[in-house]
Amino acid sequence: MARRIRARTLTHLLDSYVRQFPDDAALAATGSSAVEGAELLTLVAGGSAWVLLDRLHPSVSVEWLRHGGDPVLRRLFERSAPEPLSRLWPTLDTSLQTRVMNLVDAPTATRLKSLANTGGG
Amino acid sequence: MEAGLRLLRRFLAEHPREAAVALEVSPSSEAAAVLSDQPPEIAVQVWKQMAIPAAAAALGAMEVPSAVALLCRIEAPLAALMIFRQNLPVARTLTQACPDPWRTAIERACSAGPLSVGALMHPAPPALPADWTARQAGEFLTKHPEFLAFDIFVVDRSWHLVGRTDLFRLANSAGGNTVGARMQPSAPSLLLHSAVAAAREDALWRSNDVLPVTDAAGLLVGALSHKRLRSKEDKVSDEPVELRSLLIDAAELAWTGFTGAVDAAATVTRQFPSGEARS
Repeated sequence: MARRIRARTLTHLLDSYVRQFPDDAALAATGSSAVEGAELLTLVAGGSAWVLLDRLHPSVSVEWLRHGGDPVLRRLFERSAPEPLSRLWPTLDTSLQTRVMNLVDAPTATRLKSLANTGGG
Repeated sequence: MEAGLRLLRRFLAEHPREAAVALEVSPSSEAAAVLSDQPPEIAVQVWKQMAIPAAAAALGAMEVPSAVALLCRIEAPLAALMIFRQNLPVARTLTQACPDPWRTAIERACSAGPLSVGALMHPAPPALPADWTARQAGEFLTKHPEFLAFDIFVVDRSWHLVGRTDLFRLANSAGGNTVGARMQPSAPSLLLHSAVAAAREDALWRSNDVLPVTDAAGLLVGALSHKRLRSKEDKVSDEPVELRSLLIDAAELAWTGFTGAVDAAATVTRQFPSGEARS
């Protein structure tokens, strides 16, 4: 039986795809279910995950995040770049925002609070 | 991982060149797993774009049916090159697993082998793609220190010989960042089908210890050192039985598929008299 592709290899290739062809990758990922999307967020590196989240319809991004596990959410928000985060954060509902705030470290929580105070800008 | 695998397939299908470059840096067993997991018509488009050392290594790591599915979808000379870079048991297994007419072309070419440069050459010469960065080249050479004993040949993505370089040139950043920018853009070569006797007298040996060997289309198919050429001199002239064995055991697949094979070889011989070297 043929050997299975290791997750590490898949991550490397998907990161390469997303980095080089972000729009193509986002389009290809758009049809994924919320569970599959959460799985993709787990597979790709943080930067690539934000590239995808930033290009999807906000309602899709939110569903992906909602289905993401705690470690994924922590990793994503603690290492996020300011721009996509400031766009996405206001679109999250209160329960998801609260969940994220309870997961992340103090500096990230402070950053997220400031986003909320400035209305996401 | 289903969603990830689906996304990966889109990447491979729509951007085979970029996917190939990404696959080249993966271990060969992983590249083999990725390619084997795709429909052959997608896998082959990626595989063809990989640098040949990486592509050949991936081929050798595949299960035979997957490997044959790829081999039968590429041009015969390239297939021969891939086969020739395998160790002999793998090369034999793959060749025998290939369906006709491909396999017939190999057998016909082997039985028709002349006393040529191809019989003596090293079939897997050190070569780097011209579009690799110097850093990629350095990482590759670190993994393959055996190549450091030679000048290093430089090829394009189709494995045409485009130059030669060495460690000094690779380390010199003045020219540019790619291997192609750090090479001597001309590499005289011997022709695969040149007769050994004529190659031995070639003037190129006055300034080169090792010469690349190319086929009629300019594909890099091997390298021949002057030392090896001289060491086989007596045997070549006196022991036809051993020569026959050499042809079969060491270089039998050198002609594999220069299919169109016999016809192409005849044409080459007419165009380039035996032993003639090209720049």
